[in-house]
Amino acid sequence: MQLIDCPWCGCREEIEFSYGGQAHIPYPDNPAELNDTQWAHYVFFRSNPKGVCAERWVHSAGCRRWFNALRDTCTYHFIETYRIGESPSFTSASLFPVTESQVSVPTEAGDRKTQ
Amino acid sequence: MTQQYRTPTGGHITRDTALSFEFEGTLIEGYAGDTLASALLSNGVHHVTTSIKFGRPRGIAAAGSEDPNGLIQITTPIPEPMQLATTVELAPGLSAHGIPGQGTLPTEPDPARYDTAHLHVDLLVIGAGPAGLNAALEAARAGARVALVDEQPLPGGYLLSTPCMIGGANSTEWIAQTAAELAARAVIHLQRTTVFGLYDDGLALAVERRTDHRGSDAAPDSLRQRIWRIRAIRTIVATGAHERPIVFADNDRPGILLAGSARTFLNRFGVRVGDSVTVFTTNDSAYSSAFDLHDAGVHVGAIIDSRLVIGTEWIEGAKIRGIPLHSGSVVTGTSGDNRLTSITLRRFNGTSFGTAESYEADTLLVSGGWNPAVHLYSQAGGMLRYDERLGAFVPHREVDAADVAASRSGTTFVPHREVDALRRPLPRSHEKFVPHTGVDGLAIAGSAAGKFGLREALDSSHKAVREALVDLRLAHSPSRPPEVEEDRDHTPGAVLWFVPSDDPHKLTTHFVDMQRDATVADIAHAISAGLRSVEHVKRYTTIGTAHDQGKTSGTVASGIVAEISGEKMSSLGTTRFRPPYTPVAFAALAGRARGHLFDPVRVTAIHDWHIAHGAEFEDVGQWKRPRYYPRNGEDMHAAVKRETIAARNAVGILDGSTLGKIDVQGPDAAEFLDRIYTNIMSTLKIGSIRYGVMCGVDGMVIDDGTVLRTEEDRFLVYTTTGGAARVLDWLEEWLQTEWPELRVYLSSATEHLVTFPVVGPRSRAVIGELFPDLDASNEAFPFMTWRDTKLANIPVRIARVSFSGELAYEVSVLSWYGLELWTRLIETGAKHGITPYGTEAMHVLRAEKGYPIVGQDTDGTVTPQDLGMSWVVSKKKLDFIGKRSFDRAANRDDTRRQLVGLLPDDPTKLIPEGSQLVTIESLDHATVPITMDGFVTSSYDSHALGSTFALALLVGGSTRLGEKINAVVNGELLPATITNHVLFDQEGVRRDG
Ligand SMILES: [Zn+2]
Repeated sequence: MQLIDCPWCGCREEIEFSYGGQAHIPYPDNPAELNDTQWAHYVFFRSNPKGVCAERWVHSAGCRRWFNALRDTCTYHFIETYRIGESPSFTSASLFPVTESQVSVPTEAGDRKTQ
Repeated sequence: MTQQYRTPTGGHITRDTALSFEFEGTLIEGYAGDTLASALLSNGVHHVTTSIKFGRPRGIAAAGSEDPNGLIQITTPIPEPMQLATTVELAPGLSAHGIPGQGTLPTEPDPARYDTAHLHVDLLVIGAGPAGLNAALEAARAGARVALVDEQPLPGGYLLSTPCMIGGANSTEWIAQTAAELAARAVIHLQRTTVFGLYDDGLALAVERRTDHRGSDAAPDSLRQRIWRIRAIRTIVATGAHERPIVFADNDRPGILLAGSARTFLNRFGVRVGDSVTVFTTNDSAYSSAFDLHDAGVHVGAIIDSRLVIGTEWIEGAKIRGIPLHSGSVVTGTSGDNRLTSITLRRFNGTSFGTAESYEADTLLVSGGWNPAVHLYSQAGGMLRYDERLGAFVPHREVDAADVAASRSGTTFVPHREVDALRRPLPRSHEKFVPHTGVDGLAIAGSAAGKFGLREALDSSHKAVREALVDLRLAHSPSRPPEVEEDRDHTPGAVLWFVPSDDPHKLTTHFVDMQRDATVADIAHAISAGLRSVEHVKRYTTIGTAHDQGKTSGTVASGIVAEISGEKMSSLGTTRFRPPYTPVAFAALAGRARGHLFDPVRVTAIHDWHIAHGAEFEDVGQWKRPRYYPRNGEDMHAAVKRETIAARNAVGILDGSTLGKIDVQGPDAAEFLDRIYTNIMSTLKIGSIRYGVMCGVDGMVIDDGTVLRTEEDRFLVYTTTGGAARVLDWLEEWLQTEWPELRVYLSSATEHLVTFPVVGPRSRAVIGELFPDLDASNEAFPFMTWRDTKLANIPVRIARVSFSGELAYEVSVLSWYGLELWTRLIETGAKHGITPYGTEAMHVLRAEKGYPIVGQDTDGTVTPQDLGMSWVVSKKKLDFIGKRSFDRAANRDDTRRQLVGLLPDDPTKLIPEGSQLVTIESLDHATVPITMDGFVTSSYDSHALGSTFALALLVGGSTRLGEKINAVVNGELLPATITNHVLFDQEGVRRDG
């Protein structure tokens, strides 16, 4: 049972949180303009890396806020957590996969429409 | 019996307090402070049980939880199977018997209580031996909040077995002084408490045995065991070491035990393990046992040492005592039926044997060296390496160093004290990511770190605690560990896993894991079968899988695998250590979460009314919902029939309070719902209601329900009962991560409001009578609208929605007024025959109308179109969640499964839910696999239809109406006709009354 550092509440027991899949996969600007393959990449394709991975988590039994986390998939350990729209201090190209589905690439680490 | 093997003085037992206990039906006496094992041995009883596979007699083979043999079943005072004689404290009323590997669960209920406690500390010290006591003391003196946890009844660990001078006092005094100072410094000191698991971020789980040592003096409903959940910023593992046996022919007879354990029995319990003792060792440590026993008056017949080079002090010690010493020799066999009577030894140079000599002996002490108890360290992710000198796995030093560095930089380590103060625990940015190597804030000290000498153990404890204090940012005065004698300069021990007296495949009495009756021959067969990994060999032979989890057999098994297969021990490694360290009762883990506290139970505001009116309940998620209300001994079928007839022909009432409700507010609430739902919500007028479906981005239905626009900027969203929490998380995710610019605020209102659908042709009369201010006519109050009114002064909201196809009014009030509203509706409706109905009747009514239940008639692969609800998918909106997926080729495929109705040819036959649907006419001679065309999702007996019926998801279903299909039921085919999923009142004429 890890402690997860909610960016709003601080460290809390893992059981208070829910996992929400890979982070930094923004909803496409114009889904209608994407072909089936491009859309399928947005809906279904995830990078599933061995090592550091950016993920969405929500503090379900706490403040109910969604946030992003970097986690090492080899050890499960959280490297850091950061608020939606913020950038992690540890960066790596692999955290922000640019797939062909992504007509608009995020200009920064945050989610698309944050600013 | 008379405790003829008890020494006249010495040991940590109370000779003034004799305790009688029963073993195998015989009344025996021991003393307070004994374990069951020491009490048995004090009466000369070695033979405790027989082995699981071969029925061989087995005795006490060790003094602690590492004993692979002495399994017993306790019959009184608290029945419990699978206990170890060496860990059961002698207590009033104890009765036990040996068990061959398997016990029997007691049949009577357990009246004892179990609970859980939480503890947050700066430093957790596991093990109260010399290293642990010193670490706790030094940390407490520096001002740290310390917990010290130890599995034994008494602190002291190794010192209890090995009296010596420490810190200028004898060890017993030093233990007492140290414990007193720890208490004075408010250290949380738990004895009889086993840390059985070490997890992430400094979490330790421990079980405290609070009352078993009081036996029948403890009240039956005592708080018997407690699980401690301990969060520590730093943890020092000082769990000691386990002695390792040597495997030889017939090494399992009662009377053969570990040498250090014999010393424990002597010095801690005042028990001589036999009259005539022989020692078989590969290292120095067993000499101390031999000498202690000799000095206590036991005849030590011989010391057999596999080494040729032995330290002069040991040679001298043996000579002074007149103990013959056989160097370069090994034990090659034993005899004796229920107790050892003699042993055979031979000279052995590693390849060839000398001639055999036999000695009489009733006890054989064995020492193959010591294994650091690295279990907890390894559980927490600590890496181990093989130490050739010790013949054991020890913590990987280089990794330790890296870890300490990593935790200092604050990357993998969380200071809980700051969490307590509700401050941000770590700087949010750091220079660079240090790869995590597995051990957070964890140090290992004493013999658990392979430091077997007392002085080096104390030094390692001192070093570990100083590092911990640096991490804790605690100032500490220069301190030193207590003074002890110089460690003796040990001659290296020999590593001897087994005495290789024959082809390994033939060594069928060379027991490696005595509890599993697994031998060297079993390992040889595993290797011959091609297995090389120790993990595979473990599973093939079952070595290390018993209650003791291979505490004595694990490393030996690895060594034997290495030797037979020619692999290097360092590359072979050992099996992974997993929690629990020692067995933990499920009752303790469950704690108070038993019975009705197992999972929270949610009830509606009128739950007591349901109980008073005889409702049978059904669990829906955590909710208790009335399933039906039997009258006059009705069974469910009869009750449901009566309830559905009332709703269709007169009036029924349902407690629909468990439906999820989310209050959606804000200037952008309408825009938000437009993006979430497949249909348009922004055009909804205040006072109106719309049914909506939510899909995932993949276009699959995830929830449905009605939406009320209550104000320009405010909506009340109803979700399914089971989906309430999930939908709220889903809405928040989109709001917070994708559309933070939308000014929308969500709150759960599920428990604020109760909702009672009043259903049936006479519902208008009931509503009209109870709410005279309200015009309940269809013109003034049309379908899919809501109106506010009052009941006395209670604000009431009534909605014209229908989940049955009947004229219906869903009446809502704040939960406080729920019971009052319900009883008034029942009273007013009485003359109209108002009938409360449960979820079962609700299901029949909704299924007759083809209304799907998300999660029952859908499974995450079903679109709104599949449910025959293309009308709920907006063509006008540019986008909403799921829209793009509806255009995918896979979503437009004609062979998708679609919702249909089924009418069995035999209207009395109910097709079980989940039944597969096939087109073949006969199951005889059918070619397998048979093509499955779909499956039944809902199935009921309908009075309105005069038949059973079902809903099903069927390949291309919407184009197959009128066709026949067969359901496979218990190996037979049940024919049915495919119909539209709306089976009753397809024109919808009933909903307006
Ligand atoms: Zn939070």
